[in-house]
Amino acid sequence: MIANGAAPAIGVRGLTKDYGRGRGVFDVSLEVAAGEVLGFLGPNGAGKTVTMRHPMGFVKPQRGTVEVLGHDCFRERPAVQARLGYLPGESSCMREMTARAFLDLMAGMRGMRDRSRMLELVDMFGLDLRARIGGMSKGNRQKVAIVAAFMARPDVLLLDEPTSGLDPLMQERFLDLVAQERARGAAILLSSHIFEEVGRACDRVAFIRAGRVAMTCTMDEVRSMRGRGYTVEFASAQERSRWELAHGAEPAAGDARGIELLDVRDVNGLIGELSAYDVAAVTSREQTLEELFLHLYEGADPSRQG
Amino acid sequence: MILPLFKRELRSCLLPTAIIAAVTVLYAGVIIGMYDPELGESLALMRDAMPELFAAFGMADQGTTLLEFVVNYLHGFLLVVLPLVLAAVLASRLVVRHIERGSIAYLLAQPVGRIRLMVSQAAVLLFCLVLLAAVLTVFELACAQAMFPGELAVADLVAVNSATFCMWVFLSGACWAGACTLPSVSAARWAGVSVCTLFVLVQMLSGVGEELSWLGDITPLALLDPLGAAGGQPGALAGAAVLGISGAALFAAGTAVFARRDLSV
Repeated sequence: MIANGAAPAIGVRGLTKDYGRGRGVFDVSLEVAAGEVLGFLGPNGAGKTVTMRHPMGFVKPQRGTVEVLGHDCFRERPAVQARLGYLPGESSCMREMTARAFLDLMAGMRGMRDRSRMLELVDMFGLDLRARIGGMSKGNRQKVAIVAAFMARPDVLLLDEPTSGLDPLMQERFLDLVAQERARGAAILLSSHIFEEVGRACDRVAFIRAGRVAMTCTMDEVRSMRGRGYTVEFASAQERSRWELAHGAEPAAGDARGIELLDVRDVNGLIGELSAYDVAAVTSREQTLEELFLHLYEGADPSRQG
Repeated sequence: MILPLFKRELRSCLLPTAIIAAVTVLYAGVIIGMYDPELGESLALMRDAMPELFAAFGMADQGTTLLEFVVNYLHGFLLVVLPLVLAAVLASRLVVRHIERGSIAYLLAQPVGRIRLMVSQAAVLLFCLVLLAAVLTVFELACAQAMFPGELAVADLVAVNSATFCMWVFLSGACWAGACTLPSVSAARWAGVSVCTLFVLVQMLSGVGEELSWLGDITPLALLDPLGAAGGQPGALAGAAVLGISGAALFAAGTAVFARRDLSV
């Protein structure tokens, strides 16, 4: 939901692109406001990249509309691209060029004279501009793509699997950069299948499954949905089997005494129930986003749209 | 035209252009050097011994002047095939390779419009063909002047090569149209050059016997008559113009389709 009813910077409404045999996206609607980061989560092949090709104007919608800053993304591509930064899912910079030649070419095509932001980003990510892109590691090629996407200070950013190949330090720097851009007022659509990355970078998140948006909600709502997970270690394997039988599960073979309980909401109920068993230890942890999302995928309520 | 992209792409296309230009001028030099009455007689003997083979390669008539000799031995086959190879390589390099590698995503992500982008890329291809024609013409004139002073009129050779250039535009237009429009990368790479190769083969077949001579009139290559163009014959000039305009139309059609097509990159 866009705050204050303002026009969204990215508006995808009822987008359908059917590639046959269930592939494509169907009736996808997304909105991203200025100064907002929308995480776009889903498993491989769910339709994240297909959706992102539409705001880029690479493909024409079969049905629905896709607008960036009020411009139709297919018909008014140059007007859209002038204010948009794009980080493709596959790092496919021109391999025979050096990083400097490639970035200069991209800047030249944009008519971008001021290279100060480009150099700032090069410093931030420790990129060697003299290296040939074809000889770089995947992570370094990704850095080139990040600089190309952010160097023009765009109003809208489309980031497809942005931290792919980056080491943990560079992932941190990238998340800092996303926070900076959000503070500057950029609208950011960030596609990922890395749950923690979305959890840290985004204000809202949309879940896509089999080409359809299954759910859109704020990160606060996601956090409130997160239950806790518990590991219960019984005094003996027999006690564990007794618990499993009482809960309709087939007792697992072997001497293991522990069980995992995910998404526990009624903690008092659990403690009361465990009092009837000989328990050696109970440990608890917050449910990971991955566990939450997988749980949502398995039993999602598609009617819930944020 | 997008100047930074034009410069970059031109640099990447200069090597294949230089290679084809080197092979072309090598043949041109050899053939001009062969314009020798005594060698001409032995060639005539060879041609009389294997008339079908010579005719298949467009070398049916030796001609009486240096210009006719050059057109007969160079323009009938080599100056069709070598520029076709160059056009196919460049169309692949300028369009298909970017789609295949995904680097087209970066070019399309800049605020330039697809038509402007493709016009810039097509300009690189045409510029390389102009370079080839210019190098060839200058080299032919230099060789002719060095070996047979006064035998080759500059205006005639320029007319011959201009008409031939119109055919190159047609061949490269066919390669361009395939590269821009076909969704499969291998089809985009090979469709144009395959069709043009078929034209060349049909024309070669037309030369091997009387009963197949009609085949020579059914391909667009039949519109090329370099000597007629040098002589100012209206039919030859119109044929060259049709080839050039058809080539330009193929470039325009390919670019227009590219501007509207889906690019899943």
